Amino acid sequence: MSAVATARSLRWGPWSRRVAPRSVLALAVLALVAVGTVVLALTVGRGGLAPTSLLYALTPDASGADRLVFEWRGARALAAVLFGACLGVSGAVFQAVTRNPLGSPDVIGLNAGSYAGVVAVIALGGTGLTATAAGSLAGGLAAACAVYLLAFKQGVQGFRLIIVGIAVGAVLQSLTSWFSVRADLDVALRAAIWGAGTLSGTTWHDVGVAALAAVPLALSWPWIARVLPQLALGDDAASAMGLRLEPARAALVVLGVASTALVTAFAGPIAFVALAAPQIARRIVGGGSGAPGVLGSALVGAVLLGLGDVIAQHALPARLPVGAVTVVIGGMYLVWLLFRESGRS
Amino acid sequence: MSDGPQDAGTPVTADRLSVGYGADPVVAALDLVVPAGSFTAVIGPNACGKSTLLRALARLLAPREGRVLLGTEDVRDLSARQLARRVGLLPQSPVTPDAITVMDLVCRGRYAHQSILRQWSRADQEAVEAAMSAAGVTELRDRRVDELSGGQRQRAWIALTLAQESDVLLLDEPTTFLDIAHQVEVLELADTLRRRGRTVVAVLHELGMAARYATHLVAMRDGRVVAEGTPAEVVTEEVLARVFDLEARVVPDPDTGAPVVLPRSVLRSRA
Repeated sequence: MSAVATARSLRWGPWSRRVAPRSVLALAVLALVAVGTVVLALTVGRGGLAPTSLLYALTPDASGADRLVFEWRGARALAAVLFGACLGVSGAVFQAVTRNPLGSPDVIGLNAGSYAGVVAVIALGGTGLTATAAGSLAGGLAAACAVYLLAFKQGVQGFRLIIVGIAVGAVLQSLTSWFSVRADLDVALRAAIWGAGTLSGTTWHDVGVAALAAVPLALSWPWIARVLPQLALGDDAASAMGLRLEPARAALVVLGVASTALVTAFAGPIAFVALAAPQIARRIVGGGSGAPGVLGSALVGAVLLGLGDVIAQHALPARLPVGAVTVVIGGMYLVWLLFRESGRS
Repeated sequence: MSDGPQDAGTPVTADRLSVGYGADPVVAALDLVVPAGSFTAVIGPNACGKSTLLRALARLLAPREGRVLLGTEDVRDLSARQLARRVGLLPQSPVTPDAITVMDLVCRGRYAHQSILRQWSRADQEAVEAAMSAAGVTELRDRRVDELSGGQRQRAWIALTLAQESDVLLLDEPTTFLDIAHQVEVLELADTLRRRGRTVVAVLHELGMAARYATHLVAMRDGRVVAEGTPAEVVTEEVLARVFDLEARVVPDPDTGAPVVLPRSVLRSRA
């Protein structure tokens, strides 16, 4: 594995980094593939843009039909990529905090918490983005607190946190079902559609608001990339090297929950992306859990959700919510991961 | 900057220190001075508070009473990063990330010297090179840590704490689980670091090794210091009986003169 080790020193003024060319190349390719999924989403299938009129559709003198397709599909494709990136980073954060590849927000009940929060808001008559987003964030944070407190026993150990998280997630899911059963048909239907995790009906306005909300999260990525590698060395080593452990961990949990909650507020709970993206990124990008890991997780997440949504819309006989597609792929991946983990210990 | 700091090193003082996890303190009202520039070995039976003491010295545990001084400064007055630049700790069981190379591991020791912007300055590079050279892992820099022998892996981790460039180095059972040759490898490294001016404190189980390499010994039992001084002063038949309930003969090493322990029997049941 000496290929990894040919890292270069990059220095420019006060800025300096140690960078592995292989990681940079892999990240560049991933970024291109992510752009590719957007292009694919615009062009594929009946009614798609012709590849030749792709750039033309952005100009003022585009044909009305082309512009309509762009309006229709562009927002959704960009949302998929943006949300995928958020989920990927959220997964990287939680897998680092739990020190376990199973410790992603969808497995440890945070998606379920966000979902329950939104359903509660809908059931109480709340409508609109702000109410949904608030419900999603509050639900996610409440679930995170519950999991943390229930799993706490002289510190939090990764695997116990995951088991407790799965249990809390199950409780929240049944709570959500109960809400839906008790609610009016109309409310229940809205909650159910939204709960499948779908990007259909995403508007440019939605994407704009989501992107704005994602800006502060993205600004935290350099900090996340600096902290995660230290955390990976174990609690004692990390704090002996100067990391303030508990504040850092709390900040990571809040950032991770916020990333998941953002996606859940707009698109509903989407499983698998947060779970798989960091692991896939690690294999493709290499270079550990630092900047290559965080960026790689974002890009792989973007590609996964982007492609997942294209598959959900065009590759299947019926149009499915993207959440259904990622759940199916994710289920298989999870089984494989569990097998590998149990084989290890 | 070289791997060896500064003239005489920094003394570490525990002043009426009480630390613990649950109801009873593991370490109670302990007074201890680690001489500047010494290689101090802490010995004692299992669960006597050795590791707890070390973790308290590194401020991983907050004292219930008393304080820890670095030179004349209370460690509580330092920020996390200031403290990390002055005290390094190799924990008992650090986590080695999957597939990490020695160089990548050692680089992480620079955390306290870096910022969001500056993460690989020339000073970082020099410190990492010097640390790898001092720990003798320069040739292993591109190897994966999980493929190394136990002794090599321990030296890679010591290199990481050296890259921190702290005056004081705390090693929690650095030789446990190592075979005898690898133990010698690690202790000779600790001795070299001491010679170059660092203050080294290590929790050790192997008495003969401690007596051979350390310049200062601290014998603990039940959270208290039973004896401290030079190896010849501490490794005596009388102290071994008090600390370990062990009847033993102590004879001088024919080559070095360091005390050698020949165990005879356990004095009473150690419930």
